[in-house]
Amino acid sequence: MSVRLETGRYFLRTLDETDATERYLSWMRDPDVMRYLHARFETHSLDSIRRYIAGHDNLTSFLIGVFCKESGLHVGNYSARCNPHHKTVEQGVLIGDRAHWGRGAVLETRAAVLDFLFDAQGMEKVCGNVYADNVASLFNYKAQGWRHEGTLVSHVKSGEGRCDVLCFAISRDEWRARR
Amino acid sequence: MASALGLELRDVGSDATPESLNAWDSLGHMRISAQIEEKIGRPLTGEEVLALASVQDVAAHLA
Repeated sequence: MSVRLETGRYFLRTLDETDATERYLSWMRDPDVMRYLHARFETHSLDSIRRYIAGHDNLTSFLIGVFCKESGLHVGNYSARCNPHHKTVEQGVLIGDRAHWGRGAVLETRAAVLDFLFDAQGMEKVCGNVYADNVASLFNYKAQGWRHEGTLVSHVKSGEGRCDVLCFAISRDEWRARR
Repeated sequence: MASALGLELRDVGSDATPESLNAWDSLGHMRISAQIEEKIGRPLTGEEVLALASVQDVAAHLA
């Protein structure tokens, strides 16, 4: 299914191969943007981005682009992989356009994504993992009411050393109670 | 706190929280965390970052 969501400042929609652009590629090659993503260990090209987009079937796995209403520009993505048996979702976000950092973009747009996952897709729990030194992301998960469910100690390489990964989750009931 | 959030000292009350200060957003939290780390000489754990929910929490960390 094709996804189309809207917030005050952004619209979100399913990505297709035409969204594999030099702009998108520039994010994948920016060390600061990629700092907390596992994809930073891979080599990226327009073809690899097209393959990544095509790898989401829009039935149980979604790659949803975030677009600024004012400029029309593609500024980031959500990846959401649903388990239809357990009604759980593993999600992650990338805001590749630095001009949209520190502007509440994640809090605003992830709310729409959660509404979609819980209401349209019938999911019951959404999860997200964060590097312990990704302070901005930790702040956003907490501010949005997610629970810190656990910590994977010294789980990933980060910078010159290793760091923990914090596991967050929010249930459908918890999200609906906040709305 | 005030310098990390780009505010005047008088704008940061002793009971301030992210909910009460617009400037205390994700980037503000990064700057607060960075200043604490500089003061205490070590990185904060993820749990410690999460626990910084008020001016009092920040003060307790620096005590």
